[in-house]
Amino acid sequence: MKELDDLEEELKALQPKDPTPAFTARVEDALGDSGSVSFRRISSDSPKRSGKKLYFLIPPVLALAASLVWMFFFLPKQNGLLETSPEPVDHSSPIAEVIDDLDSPLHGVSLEELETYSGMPTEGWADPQVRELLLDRVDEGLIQRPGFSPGRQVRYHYLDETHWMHPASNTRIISTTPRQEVIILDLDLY
Amino acid sequence: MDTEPIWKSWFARHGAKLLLFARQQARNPHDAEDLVQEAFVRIWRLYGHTGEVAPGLVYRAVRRLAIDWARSLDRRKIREQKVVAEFPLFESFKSSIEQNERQKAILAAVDRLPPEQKEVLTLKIWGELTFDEIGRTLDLSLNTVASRYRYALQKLRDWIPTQLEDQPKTREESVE
Repeated sequence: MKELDDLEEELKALQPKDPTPAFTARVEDALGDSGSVSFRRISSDSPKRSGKKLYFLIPPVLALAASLVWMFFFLPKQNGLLETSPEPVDHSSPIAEVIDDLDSPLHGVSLEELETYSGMPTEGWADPQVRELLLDRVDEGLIQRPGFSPGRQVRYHYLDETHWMHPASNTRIISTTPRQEVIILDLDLY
Repeated sequence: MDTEPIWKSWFARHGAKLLLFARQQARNPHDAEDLVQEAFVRIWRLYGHTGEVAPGLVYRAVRRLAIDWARSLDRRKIREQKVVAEFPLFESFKSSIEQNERQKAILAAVDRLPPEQKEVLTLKIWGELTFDEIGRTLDLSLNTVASRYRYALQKLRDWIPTQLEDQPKTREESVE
């Protein structure tokens, strides 16, 4: 019996040759869209953050929220701050003066005002970095298409992230936009 | 955080084993690649969205395709049988100088096994499937799979030259 076990081990030690890169590339071509149906996230160098570490934040956050609620609902009543003003409120808004600054990305707001209100410079930003994150994929099942072979409908949920950076002030802005894509994979019947 | 298509890591893990199995079904390295490509693409299109595909499904598809191809291409089959002599099993494995002779002897013995025993042995040893998975892949009962595997090992034990069993396995030892 031990003889057979040893033989088994010896056979397992022999490794079949890996597929050649050319063959793998051929398979990739043949897969087409279905090769990009599912992805695996590759962890970066930074250590993975554990959710457990954030638990310690729960009590202080709850306490802060409770104190804010107390301040807004009870303090003003005690001080009479919620009493209505005897003066009638004029709801008619004055005509706003529209500032036309062609360099400003916001119509009606000058660059100077943008800098003042945002507290950020408007010049010296690096080119934005755009990244697409696949959040989820949902198999919505088989669909029939008249005149075509049946297909599998897969919906992808992405998050498009745009990073802006201002090196001089070390300011970073991240903007995220959710996006959906629907792909129909042709199915071969055999 | 970067992303990579799952099929690539899947194929890196199972591609070599699939090729070895297909190589035995097709009896020709080029057709073996075609078989693996066809079977893998079909299965991945059906189940790839799940993120993980059981290797047994692809082995099964390889085998069925091989049977279909063999039935439809009799002339080609004859040609393949001629080719097999030019591509012994040894060619499908990574070889090392140290183990060359012994490896050749072992794989030559595996090559001599009856096909039904060889495919069970291949799926068990290199495909790393369980007897149950092999049974489902080859449409065989558990007992048949287990007994074919045992017969294969017993034959190999008898066929592998005893003088080779006593040979040193490292190059340094063999030089001495």
